[in-house]
Amino acid sequence: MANAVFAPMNSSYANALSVPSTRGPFTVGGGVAVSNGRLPTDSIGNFALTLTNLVVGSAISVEAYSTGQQLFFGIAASATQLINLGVYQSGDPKNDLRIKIRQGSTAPYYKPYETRQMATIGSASLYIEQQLD
Amino acid sequence: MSIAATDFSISTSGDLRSVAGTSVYSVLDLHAWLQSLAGNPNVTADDNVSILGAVPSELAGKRNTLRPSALTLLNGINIDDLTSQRFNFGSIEQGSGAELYTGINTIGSGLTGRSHYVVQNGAKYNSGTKWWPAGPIRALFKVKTAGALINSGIVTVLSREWGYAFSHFDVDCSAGSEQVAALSVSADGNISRLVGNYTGGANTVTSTTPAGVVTLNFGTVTKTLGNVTKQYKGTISWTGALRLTEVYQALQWACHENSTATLNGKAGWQYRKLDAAYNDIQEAPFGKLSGGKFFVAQGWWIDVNSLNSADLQAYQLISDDGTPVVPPNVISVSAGNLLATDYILIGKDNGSGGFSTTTGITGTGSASSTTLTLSGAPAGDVATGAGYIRIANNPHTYTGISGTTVSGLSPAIPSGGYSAAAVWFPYIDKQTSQTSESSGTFNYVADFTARVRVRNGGASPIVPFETTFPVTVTGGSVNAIRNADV
Repeated sequence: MANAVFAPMNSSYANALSVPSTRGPFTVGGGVAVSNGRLPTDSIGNFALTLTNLVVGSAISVEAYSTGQQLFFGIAASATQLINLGVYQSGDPKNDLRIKIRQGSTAPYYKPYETRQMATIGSASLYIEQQLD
Repeated sequence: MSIAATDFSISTSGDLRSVAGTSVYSVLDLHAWLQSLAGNPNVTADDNVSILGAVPSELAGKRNTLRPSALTLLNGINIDDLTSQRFNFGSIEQGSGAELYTGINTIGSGLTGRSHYVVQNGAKYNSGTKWWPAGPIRALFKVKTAGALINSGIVTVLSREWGYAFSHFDVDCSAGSEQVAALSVSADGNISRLVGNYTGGANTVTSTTPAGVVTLNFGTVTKTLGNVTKQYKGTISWTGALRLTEVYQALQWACHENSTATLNGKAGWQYRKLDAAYNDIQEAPFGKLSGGKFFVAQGWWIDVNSLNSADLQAYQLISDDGTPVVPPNVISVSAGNLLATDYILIGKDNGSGGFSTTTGITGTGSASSTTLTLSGAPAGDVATGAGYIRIANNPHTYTGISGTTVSGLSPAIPSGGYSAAAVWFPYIDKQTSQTSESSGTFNYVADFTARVRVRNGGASPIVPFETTFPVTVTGGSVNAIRNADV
C-alpha cells in the first residue's frame, strides 16, 4: 500500500512529509499535520521486567502465552536481567507472557523453568528458582 | 558421550529418528541433547527443538551418569523401535505414558562373548534380529504400547548357545528404568557333537552321528518303573539304541537358540518345562547329565525299550507329582558246577526246609493257550522278561509278564486248562545242558534267601544237592557240590 502524503499548504514546509500508511489517522491543526495516530496493535506503554537469581548462561525466552510469538530472547550474562517490553491494549495476547528459562547446554544443568506474567505499564520483578537437572 | 546431532532428526511433529551412525548412547545422553537443543533460540538443521517449543524431555531424579535414567519424552517427542536401539542404560517413556522402552542389563558369570536372545510374548524380540553384541548385553526393549503392557511387562532373556549350559531370566520391565537379568553360563562338558549334527522336526531331533531319532510325545501316561507306578506327562523315546549321553545332546539341541525343532507346537528355543507347575531346569530343560547319569526333567517318562543296554540304570526320573523314580536294580541268580542232564531248581526259601511256593496268586488259562491270566500282579522281584512259572506245580517257561498276563508259556497250557490254579515263580527250573545256569533278570526289592536243588539220577548220579544261599543287591550264586551217588 502506498504511503499517505501530506501536501503542505504553508510555503515554509518545503518538503512533503511521508507517513506510513500503517499508522493510524493523523490530525490536522490549522492546516498543518502535527502528529501520527496509533494503531490498536501499537504498544500503549512500557513494561520493565526484571528477572533475578538467574543461572548465568541460561537462555531466556519471553513469548506471548497464547500465540507463542517470541518477544524477547537472550542469554543471561548475570544473575539479574532487565527486559523491556511493550504493553498493549487490554486483550492483546502480547500482554500475557510466558517466560522460559533453560540451561541444558553446559554443566551444571538445570531443569527447564517456566512461569507466566502479565505485562502492565510499569515494572515487575520475578525471582527465578531454577532446579538442578 | 555427547550425541552427534547428525545421528538423529526431530521432525516438527516430534518424531525423533535415527538417521545416521551406529553409536549407542545412554538415555541420559539423549536427555542432555534434547535439553541442549531446548535452549537454542531457534531450531537447527533437522532438529526441530528450540526454546520456542515446549520442553522435550524430563528425567526422573537428577542427572547421574552412574545410574540408569528414567526419561519421559514430552509434548509429542517420540522415538520408534529402530531408534530405541540407539540407546541404553535407562528407560524411555513417551506418548503420555502410552509407550515404554525399558532397559535390560544382563549380569552374571560366564556371559562375556556368549550369545543372548530375548523372548517376548512367545516370540523372539525383533524377530530374532539382534542389534546388541554378544553378552553381557545392555539395551532397551519396548514393553508397553498403546497404553497396555506387553505380556504384563515380562521379557525373558535367554542364553542358549550350543556347547554351553543354558540360562534364562524373566525380567519384569513394567516399572521402567533398567532391570537386571541374572544369568549364569558355563561350558557344557557333555556336549561333544557339532551343532550341525542335528536336524529338527515336529517333536523330533535327528542325530546324524550316531544315527538315531529322538522323539518327544506330549501326553499323560501312567508307567511303572521299579515297582513305582506314577503318572508322567510326556515320553522320550529314540531309535538307534543311542546312549543317554547322545540323547542328552539331541535334547539340548532341540531347545538351543537356533533350534528348528518344534516342541508341542512351539519353537524349541523357547521350551522350558513340560508343565507350568514344574520348576525350571535352566541349564538343561530336559534334564541334566551328571556323572554319567541323566537326571531327566520332571514329568518325562523314558521309553525303557529305547535304552541302550549299557544305560539301564543311568537315569533318574521325576514323576508328575514330583516323586523321584529310579530304575530298578536288576539282578539275577546263578548256579555253577553243573553237568548236562542235571535238573536244577532255584526259588525263594520258605525258611522251613522247602521252597516258598505260596504266592497268594492263582492262574487261569485255557487248554493249548500260551497265555495265563493271574489273579494279581506278581511280586516285584519276579522276572517280567523271560522266566519260569509253576502252575498247579507244572513247570512252564514264559517270555514275559505284563500286569497280570503271563505270555509265551511253554509248554502251552495242558488239556483241561487251568482254573484258579496255584502259581509260583522259581528263578531257575530246568534240566540243564550246560555247566552253569542263570536266571532271567529281575528287580532287586530286598535281600532274601534262595534255595537250590540239584539232582541227577541218570548216567552220572549224584547225591541230591540242596542248600540255601543269600540273594542281595548284587544278586546271588551258588556252586553245586557233586557227591557221586554210588
